[in-house]
Amino acid sequence: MTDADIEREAIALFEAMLDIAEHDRDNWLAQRTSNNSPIRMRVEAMRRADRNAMLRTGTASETISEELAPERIGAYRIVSLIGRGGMGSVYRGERDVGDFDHVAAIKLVKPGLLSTSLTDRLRKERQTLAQLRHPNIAQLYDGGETPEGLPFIVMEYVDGEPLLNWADGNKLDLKARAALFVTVCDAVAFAHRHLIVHRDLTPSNILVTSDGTVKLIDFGIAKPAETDTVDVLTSLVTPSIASLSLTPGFAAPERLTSLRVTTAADVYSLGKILAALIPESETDLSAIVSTATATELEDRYATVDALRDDVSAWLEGMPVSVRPGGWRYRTVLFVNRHRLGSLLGGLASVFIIGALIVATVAYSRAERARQAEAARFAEVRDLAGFMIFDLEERLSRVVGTGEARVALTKRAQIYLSELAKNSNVTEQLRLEAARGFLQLALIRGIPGQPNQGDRVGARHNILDALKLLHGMETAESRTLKVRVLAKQALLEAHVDSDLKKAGESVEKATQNLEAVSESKRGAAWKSARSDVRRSQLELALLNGDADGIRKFAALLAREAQERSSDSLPDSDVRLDQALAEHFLGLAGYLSDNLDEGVTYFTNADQRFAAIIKDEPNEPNLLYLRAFNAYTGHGTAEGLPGKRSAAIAFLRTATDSVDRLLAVEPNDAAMLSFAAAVKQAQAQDLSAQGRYSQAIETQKQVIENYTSAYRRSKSPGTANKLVGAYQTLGLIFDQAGNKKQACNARTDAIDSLDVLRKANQLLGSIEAMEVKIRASLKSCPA
Amino acid sequence: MIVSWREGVADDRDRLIQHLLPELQQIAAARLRGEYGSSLSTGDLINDAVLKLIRIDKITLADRAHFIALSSRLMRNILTDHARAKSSEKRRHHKVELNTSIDGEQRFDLDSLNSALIRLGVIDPQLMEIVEMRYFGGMTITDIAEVSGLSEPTVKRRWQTARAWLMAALDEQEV
Repeated sequence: MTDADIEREAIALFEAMLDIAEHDRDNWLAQRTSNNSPIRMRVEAMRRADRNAMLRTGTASETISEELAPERIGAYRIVSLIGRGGMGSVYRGERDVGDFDHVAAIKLVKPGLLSTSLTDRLRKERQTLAQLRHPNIAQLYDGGETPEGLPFIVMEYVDGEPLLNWADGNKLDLKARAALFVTVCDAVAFAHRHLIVHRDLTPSNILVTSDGTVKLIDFGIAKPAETDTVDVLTSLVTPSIASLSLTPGFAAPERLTSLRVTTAADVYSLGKILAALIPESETDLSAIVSTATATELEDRYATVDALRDDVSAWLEGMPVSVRPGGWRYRTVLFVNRHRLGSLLGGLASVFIIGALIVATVAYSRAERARQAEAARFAEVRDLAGFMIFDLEERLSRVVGTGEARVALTKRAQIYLSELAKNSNVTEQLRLEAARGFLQLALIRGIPGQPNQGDRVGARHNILDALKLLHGMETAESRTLKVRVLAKQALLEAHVDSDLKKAGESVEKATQNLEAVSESKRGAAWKSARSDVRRSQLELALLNGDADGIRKFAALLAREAQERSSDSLPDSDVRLDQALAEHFLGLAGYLSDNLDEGVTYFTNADQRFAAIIKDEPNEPNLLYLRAFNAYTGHGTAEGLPGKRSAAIAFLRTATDSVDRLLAVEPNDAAMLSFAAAVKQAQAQDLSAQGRYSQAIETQKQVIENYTSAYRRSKSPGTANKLVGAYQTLGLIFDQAGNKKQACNARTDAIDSLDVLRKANQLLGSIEAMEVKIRASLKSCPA
Repeated sequence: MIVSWREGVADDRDRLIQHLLPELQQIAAARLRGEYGSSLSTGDLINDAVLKLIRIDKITLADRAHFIALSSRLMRNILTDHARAKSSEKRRHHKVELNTSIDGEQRFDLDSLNSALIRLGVIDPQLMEIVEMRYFGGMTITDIAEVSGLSEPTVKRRWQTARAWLMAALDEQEV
């Protein structure tokens, strides 16, 4: 047995022992281990340590280090320390500036406790609170920062006793206690009407002065309630200073698990306070307590007023609403739901819009299902080939130019550059920074995943990452380097069209991969290996190397299989499996094994669909599925027996693109891809003899390419426009409209000439030129 | 499982790190200046940092616990780095201690704690992760349960076990 095994056994034993009653533990252990065995000794050491821990915890409260009281804070001279706790210390201060004497409680926040943002928030909250004036709420007078920059708050000085002490000390009867509670509720309800939630109501935050006046203190750490604010989403996640502290036993359960803290949290705390004030035997009051302290928000009183009314009703001998069958219970529920409804209004409208999109997609799917019928359109096979395998097409497989991402990139860039400049950062930080640069590169412009199309920026980031990683030889840094190199290869292949250099980068990546010792090949390493495989597949595809594709696809699939047996298959592993089939489909197409290709594309589609089911609206997945279906359609189209598969592919492609456009409506590359899919549809329609629809659709395609080109000025899109005109010409041919066919081809040649002049004509389009010019010969001059 | 956020969503993690690091370093600095015994625990402060991030990037709230768990790991790194820097600065072993107010006033030498944690990670990775989340991240049992997929009673039991093991290990180091 190794040391680690002994430790493991000891840990397992100790853990099981925790379920055994303390006095039985010695016997229990004796039955399972022999005296003085190594395992037994370890368990005993843990028991000793555990006992010590409990001891220390129990006596720890008074060991807070003493700090010196300041002499002055603001305009106040500090007289004495009232107490410590919460965010700092509270002092009694006397104002001796000006012409009147004035006593106040001054709360000084501890140094370093609050980040700058929290200090700012405190300042804002102070202004809100200064406006809150109620006889039962300790007034906030002033606030500011000491010369050392420590925030302080000046509050009304309350010379009182905590609620429960006062009630007990004055031997209050049940009715007097309930009346006291109603006063507390009134004060809290007043604050709520001013959109301020206390959040930390406890019996010790409620003081009663010697003349019986209730004063709620520590409202100084509240914030506007979230019910009526306009920006629901933002306010939901803005915690107040108070939300950072809570008192066990009085804090609402949602305070622990949820960020949304509303007036309902105060209702809960009030319920707990009421429970502490009154004996359990009081049935009606106990019913009120349990409604106020319901775990589910929906079961709780909607407002403090509702709680207060019930306690008042009890005081007046009226029935309370929360007794079984009480009519108000239902109303309360309704009001509560209604309030939540308005609170979540912002969210709800988002969901409704989402639902509308789904409905629209479903409708057009049915519409297209009716439109699609069997036919073949061999003449445009070369066009499809161009569309599928054109470099530009693959290059522009980008989605997601959301503004948020752009902003994120900028911020990240600034931070990372600062970090990289600093020469004496630790290796760990360099690693994290390199990781950041890689991520930045991915967002900015690594082909093959959603990005901003900023190739130059991406390249800089890749180089920055490599620079940071230079000379580092740990498994972690090598693994990261592998990922960076794999992505660099994609940039070199797609952007520079330098397949040789890309091959070298992949080779370097492979070397680093293998340099990691076997024992360190964890999940991160396997994920990096998958990145290398994907790059190898891209390169093989660009080289037109079907055998290479088959080889790497088999590796990718096998390695994904291994990874999935390591743990539950995560989406990354499932994506690898889908991609492997997708590339095998492409290999089938490349090597003219079209039937084989269709089979693989179909399998890939099923896999993509399954992942999307779990991760709907993920742009990258939708894109991959659309692209797979699009290539699948191009492959199946030429096969007489695969007609229905071709139709299904086209439908899948259209649906996925529709969903993509719903997610990323302004993405130029997406619009261009959508047009490509639409063009396939137009060809289908034409083959069915539905010429007017086909022409209409193809005209939309041309319009889409034109507007995409206006946005992006991408030469790739301009080249596609030539193809689109040629396709329109072919459709007019089939429809027997010679004149329009000639017009379309003239447009095609015009665009082509412009491209040639700009030196942006792609080879595949140039190859098309001969056919177009040949057809034009029969046209009238 | 913990594994899935730690390794499966590496890209998300990278993005988060970029945002969390400065914030966490600030928190760590405050911790190390010795402001302890307050009701604002490291966990509260990390929670604040994560909330800010959620607000900026509109990340779903459901992921909150995962981000805090991630922050815990980062916090451990930052603090350990800091402890190392401190001891090399002074050219002698200088103990950097941390208090998290989770278990009263226990103060551990960070460097020893870190090496004990590494050892625990070899023996039982899950225990190490729970310590990270609870001790460095100040996470609640509920949040840890959510991240780890364990039940709350199990997390409680495992945490107590991990703590006992660690303290036994630290006691031995002191001797």
